[in-house]
Amino acid sequence: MSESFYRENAKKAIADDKLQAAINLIQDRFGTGLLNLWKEKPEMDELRNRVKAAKDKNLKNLDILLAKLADSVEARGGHVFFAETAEEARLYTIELAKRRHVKMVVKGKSMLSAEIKIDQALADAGIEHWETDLGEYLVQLDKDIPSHIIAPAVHMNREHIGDLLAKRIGTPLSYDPPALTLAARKALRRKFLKADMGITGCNIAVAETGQVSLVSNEGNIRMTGTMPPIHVALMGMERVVANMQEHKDMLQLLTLGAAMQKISTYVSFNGGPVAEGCPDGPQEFHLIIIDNGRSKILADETFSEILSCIRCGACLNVCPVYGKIGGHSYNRATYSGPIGAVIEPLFNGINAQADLCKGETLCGACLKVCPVKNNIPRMLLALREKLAYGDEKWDVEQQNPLEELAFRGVGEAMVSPRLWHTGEKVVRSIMKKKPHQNDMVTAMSGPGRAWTDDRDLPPIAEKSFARLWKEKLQNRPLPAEKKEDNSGKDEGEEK
Amino acid sequence: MAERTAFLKKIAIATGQDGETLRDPADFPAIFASEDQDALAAKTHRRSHEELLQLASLFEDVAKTLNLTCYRAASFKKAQKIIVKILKETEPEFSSEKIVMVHDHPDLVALNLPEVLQKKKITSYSTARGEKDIRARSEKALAGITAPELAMAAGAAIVQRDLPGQPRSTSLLPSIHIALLRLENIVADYDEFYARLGKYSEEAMVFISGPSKTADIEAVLVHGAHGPRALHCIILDEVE
Repeated sequence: MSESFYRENAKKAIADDKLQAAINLIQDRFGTGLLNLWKEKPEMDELRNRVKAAKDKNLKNLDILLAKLADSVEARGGHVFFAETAEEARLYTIELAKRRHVKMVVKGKSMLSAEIKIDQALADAGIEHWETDLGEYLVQLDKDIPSHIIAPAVHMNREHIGDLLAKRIGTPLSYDPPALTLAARKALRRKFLKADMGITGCNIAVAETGQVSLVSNEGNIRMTGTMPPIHVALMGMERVVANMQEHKDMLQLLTLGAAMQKISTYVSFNGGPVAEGCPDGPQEFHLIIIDNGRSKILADETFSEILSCIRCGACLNVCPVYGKIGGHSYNRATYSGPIGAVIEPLFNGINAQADLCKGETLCGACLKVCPVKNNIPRMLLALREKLAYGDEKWDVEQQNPLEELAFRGVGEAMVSPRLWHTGEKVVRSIMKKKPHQNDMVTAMSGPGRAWTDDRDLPPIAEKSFARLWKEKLQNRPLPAEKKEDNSGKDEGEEK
Repeated sequence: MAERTAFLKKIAIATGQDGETLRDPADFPAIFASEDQDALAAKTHRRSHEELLQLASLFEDVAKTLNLTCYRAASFKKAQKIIVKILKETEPEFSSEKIVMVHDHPDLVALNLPEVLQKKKITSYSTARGEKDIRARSEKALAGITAPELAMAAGAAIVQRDLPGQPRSTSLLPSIHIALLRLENIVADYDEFYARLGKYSEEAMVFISGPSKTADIEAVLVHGAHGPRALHCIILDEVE
């Protein structure tokens, strides 16, 4: 069922010219741009290696870093809650909201908030909640889900957005991006000023200072963390650095990776209620540190590298598969693209999300562009291996036992010429009976159909190379042996 | 606390420890160790006027790409004139009157804005401690005026600290933001910037590098998403 969903959506996306144009634009600007930057500025390599090394050190000492972070935030008067599951995080948030009689929540863009499905929980509790990132807001009004980590509404064109805003918030019909942005600015400003609670994610937490830092260009995250009396920050447990020096390095990679920016418009640091004597800012600050499957990834050295991801979205901007099928085709999962193809199976079941990791091409573009050089292709292969053979630790059922059997058969045949030639004969005679066009087989049956549904298949040659060799060349007269060529040898040695 | 212990033990086990006892951050100072930044910070304080002017040029070059408008003022008087001109030319967005919120900072007090602006029918309010209705006034304001004490040329970024008398919202709620930046407060790059941040990083703060913007509709860049739609930075080079 899951496979058909992925394929069905992928086909729709490929046929959607407007979507293709929108993704092309983003991929050309940011994906190609970043690849060129890495090429043009090799000195950036040192920064990338430094951040990866720091990430690696921090993951190995995550218990210490999180303890320090929690102590630092508490010393500033903030509250810290450790949530092992999404449910615990939701419960904590909703209980807090109820205790404080929260009627309206504004949200700053957070992937984690989608991962733990906080929206549904807020809705169930009867709490009005608004996304405030423009793209996320449009997606919410459209009752849809984001399709890109940093460009959530990349799948929506201006006509669609104009109609949507006219219908949902009653703005005069317009298809002009500045006019549409202004309409959203007005509508959301009222909500910022009225909201009782702001919920944000956390881009980088600094253990030593007890600060949560957040980047944004719109200013919505500053609004969310400043105007409402309560600020709740949701943080994936791996998103912590030791000190400001590590922050300095990681911030640069994050804003470059996300949108080729030297620095984003706003980088805010908050880690507690507003300080004594300061006139604005939240009265209460809560940091929720969330595991939700991460410690299992951390414990597996095959996959722990994925926790170094800084969530910049650069891999989406170079991926040829994402570029064609768009974010929604990834089973409408929270994370799409190459990063989604690795973490969604790890979070939500490798069998259930098998198509995500099998759909990628292993071309290696994501590894090349990744600011922290995460080896996504390696991890995709590791996931596929678990699907091919099954895996107890990750509770993976072997996806296709017949496939394993077939390849074992081919393996046997490849070391036995007699078996191989018999197989060859059988397949050749089957192929002969199938329809042909331009000397190509156009329609196979059985497993061969998967090939011929989309492209033609060259028939097996009448005579194999081994056969031709035997017949024509094996007993050919050999030319007189060549004299040894000394000049060539010298040349080789000079090099 | 129980949930913290259970959570951290799980991580300890995932990183290959036995998980019996939790490690104490105080026993592992090396994990948090960072290089001493004092020498670098001191270097930024010893710059010649010539060097500072070069940094200002770099700041302006980067600012251009971010739609951040820069000015140079050789005196408070000049800075005051620039501010008046900006305010005269900007239409109010959130109210029919022109209201300006001004951070409580000696450099801004020196501008003598209330008196000058009153003549132009512009009301200016200080955000100093004890002032009333700061939030209500900010919501209606045309402009917020701040005096950042640190800026990075390489990213055209200024720092706003969370201090009494200097609300966060002054650079957030008004329609536009005007920053008065002393020339000597500009440093070159990320390294110098963070070296100078020093203890600021213990406070809540924000880096700002241009007006609020978005490109969420068909990747068309639009300024004024939720924050100020313009940022004017006046570099004060007091030579007179």
